[in-house]
Amino acid sequence: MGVHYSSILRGVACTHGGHQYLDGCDRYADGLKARAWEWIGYPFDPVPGSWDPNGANSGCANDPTIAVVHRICVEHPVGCSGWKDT
Amino acid sequence: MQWLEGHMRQPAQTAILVPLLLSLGLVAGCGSANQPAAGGLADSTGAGADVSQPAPGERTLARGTSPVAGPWEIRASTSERIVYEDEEVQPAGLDCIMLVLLDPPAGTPRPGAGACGEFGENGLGALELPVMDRSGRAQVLLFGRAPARAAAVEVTASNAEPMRAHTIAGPVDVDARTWVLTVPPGLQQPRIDWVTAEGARAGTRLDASHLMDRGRRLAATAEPNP
Repeated sequence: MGVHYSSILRGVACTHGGHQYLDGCDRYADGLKARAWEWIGYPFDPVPGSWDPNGANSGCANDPTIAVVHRICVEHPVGCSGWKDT
Repeated sequence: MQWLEGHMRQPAQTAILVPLLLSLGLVAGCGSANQPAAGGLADSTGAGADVSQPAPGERTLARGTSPVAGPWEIRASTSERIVYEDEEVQPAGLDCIMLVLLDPPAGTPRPGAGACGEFGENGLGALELPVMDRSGRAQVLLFGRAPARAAAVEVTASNAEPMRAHTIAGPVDVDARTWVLTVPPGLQQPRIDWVTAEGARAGTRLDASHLMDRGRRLAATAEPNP
């Protein structure tokens, strides 16, 4: 699941390893931090993943998953993608 | 799943939620270039990962215990290739590091954290995992990589005494050390540095302010409403 800003892909959230791991990937070198979120569903709050620690360089944050619904958020002014089921 | 007890007391809700979201069109996902790893899903709802045992390809570097987090394990692996809409967002073969809670306290939303690739400054990199127990005690486990010469890692803050942890040997094929340090979630202006065996600070002063936000958020959930 990706989020675009000014028609440029800014961040991507994925899962891999049979849904074992949530990936939060920064895709643009603008200094804005990116991380994936997961949501178990109402009435619980969404849970943030780790910040992608290396910005737009190769490599992502990889956290154990806790839910099947996720999205990617990038710091203001980019914002978040919609929620997606894996 | 034990680690979700405090956060999701009715796991069956997930089984209800997913079909609901599917019916709303909130479907599809991001492609992974690799097939699912052995180990699979933690339960029939697919609500979370079972990371109590290392997955194939993961190597345990060290184990330890922290007061709130309980036993933890730090693992190394190499990355899987991840592709999103034909764009490679993570190549295969990067060095990865992950901290995993072996008996996560109820109230801790996530049983581990990690990342792949190079990060940080001058060989010093930091990640974080917030933890909270049922009584509302919260802590943050800071962890990461340090240069091969680092004997310890030190965290300083404007509102706390300096805290140090000895580094741990990294993977045999990686010229780096690893480290884990438990800190309170309310650190102001935290900075991370590494220290030589002679006690000299390297002067890196890695800004860790953003690594406190999940811990603060978690700790705030334990505070009584005004």
